Amino acid sequence: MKKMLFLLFILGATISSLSAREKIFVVERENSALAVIDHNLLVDKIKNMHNFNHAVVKFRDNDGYVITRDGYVIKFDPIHNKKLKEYKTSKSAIGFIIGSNFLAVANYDNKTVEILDRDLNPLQTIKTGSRNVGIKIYKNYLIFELMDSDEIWVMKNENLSKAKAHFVLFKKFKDIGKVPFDAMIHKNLYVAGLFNSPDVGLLNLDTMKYKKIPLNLGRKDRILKVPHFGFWSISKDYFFIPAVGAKKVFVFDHNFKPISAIEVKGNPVFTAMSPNQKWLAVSFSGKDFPYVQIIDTKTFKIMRTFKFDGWILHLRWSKDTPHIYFSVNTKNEVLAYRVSDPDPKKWWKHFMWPVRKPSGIFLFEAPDDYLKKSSKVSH
Amino acid sequence: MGRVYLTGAGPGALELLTIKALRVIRKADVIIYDRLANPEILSEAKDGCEFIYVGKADSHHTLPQDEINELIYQASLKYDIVVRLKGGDPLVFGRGGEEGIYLKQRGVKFEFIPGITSAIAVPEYAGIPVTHRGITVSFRVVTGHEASKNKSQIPWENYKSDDTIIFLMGLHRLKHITEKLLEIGKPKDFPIAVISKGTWAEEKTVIGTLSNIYEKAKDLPTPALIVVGKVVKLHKDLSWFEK
Repeated sequence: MKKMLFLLFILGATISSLSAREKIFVVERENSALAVIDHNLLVDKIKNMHNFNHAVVKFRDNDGYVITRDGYVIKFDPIHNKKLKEYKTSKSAIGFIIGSNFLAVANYDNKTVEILDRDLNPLQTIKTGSRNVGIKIYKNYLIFELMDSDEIWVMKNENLSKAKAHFVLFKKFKDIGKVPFDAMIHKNLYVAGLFNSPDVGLLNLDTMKYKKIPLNLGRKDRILKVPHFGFWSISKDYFFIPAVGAKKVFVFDHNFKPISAIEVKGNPVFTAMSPNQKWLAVSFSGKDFPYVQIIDTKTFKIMRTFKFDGWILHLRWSKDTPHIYFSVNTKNEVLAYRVSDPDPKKWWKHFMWPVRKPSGIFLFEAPDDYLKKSSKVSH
Repeated sequence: MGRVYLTGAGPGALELLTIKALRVIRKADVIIYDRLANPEILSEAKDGCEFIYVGKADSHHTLPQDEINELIYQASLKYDIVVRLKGGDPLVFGRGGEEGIYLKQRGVKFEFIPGITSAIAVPEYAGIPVTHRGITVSFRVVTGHEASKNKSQIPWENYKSDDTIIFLMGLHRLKHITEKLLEIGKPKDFPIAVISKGTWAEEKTVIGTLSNIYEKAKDLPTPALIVVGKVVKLHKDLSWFEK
């Protein structure tokens, strides 16, 4: 009987295991490496990733791509943790987007947008005469901003049904506002961030009409500088925007009508919405680097203030397990807090992985057949 | 001050965890674990238990041993029940002795909880007995991953006898190991086996001789264990686990 119970326990343990549906890739900035956490184990490092300052990692299908500060696009295999190929696109690049059969890279240095196939073979170079940012895809359009000439270009893929993408200019928008520096897509809206401006530009990608909207909550509360959109969070009803310099998180509805200004601990840098949209995590800069606050997205009340032993450079909610991950850069740790309890005060430190000077955290949804194998092999 | 359990997690298969290990894992306030411990074991811990990973990544230690020692000690100051969970047995190439000494010097109470060592369990799952009446009466367990690659601590000359030799963690040194054994006079057709992912569902055993095993087994996934000796020939009669 005891044997039976023990076997039943083992079966139960296997089924209800902590199997990671997602793999965690963490940028080790100083090592030019990506640390790989899989199945709760720090299993690997992908090295020789060039200048990893502000590196961006993206996944599509079973491919991983990185763009580095010094202009390399790198393709890697996120299943086997292997660097596959690198391509030097310019001296300085900052953004890219992955289409079904192409990559589009917004270059700073050589004033081009470069189109590559998914294996990093060059297909097309679009000369813009400007540093380029905010590159996005909508349907068969490629949209980006020209930082030096205050324009938005919309390109159209004329080879949609063919193997190799090829883009032609569809429409130019001039005088969109001073120095566009970032963009995001929300539904059919291309939202343009304008440097040192409290305004955002809105391009409706269905009607191709453009307008500017001020982000203000009245005379007193005005966003001094629109932060990068990667730092915003979007819920079903609201945009949450860290108001840099104002020690507040501003809340707007999806028509950019002001809703609230939430007082927070310090100068907010980064906001991250939990997958269930109940919680907003906010990180800070300056002396408040070690803090993270958790905000209830319905009441806008601060529910918990974490103080860590080091600087939090990035945080990200797991999509598959009840965890939030933190990069504690100066402590050389990546932490996972268990967030299953409805009361954030009861969330607890669940995992610690030693990672050298961690910064960006990126999640890869591994395919099911891989997970079936990895649940037994990753020890 | 808490109590530290230096605990062996066995060779990989969950069923090979001991009942005592399971009990302390269920009570633990913190579990400090390494790469060879089956991560599914962690799901048995209670809510609120903290997990700290100190294993290798990309064959390099993420934390040096002295930092691991200190981390265990600090955990014992903070928590009542600290489990240091290691693959296999904590004292068979597990550095559990170093951790025990460090704790003892600081007045921390600890216990060792033996784990089933892969040195015996993995060959057994592959149908290779480490001893067999009429073939061999003894066996040796050797690390295949020596700390200093330049100056070998392995007394190769002593390995001329008919002992079964089990090399742990040695796949990346397989060529070197076979060359050394040939150097001391073992015949080229002497039996050798490499067992990859022993006791796991993906276990794979490759049988060969000292002259051909490297080509046959060099690309097997790790962890892998090497068995050298005439007992390897029994694999064809005793193999029971692999499909």
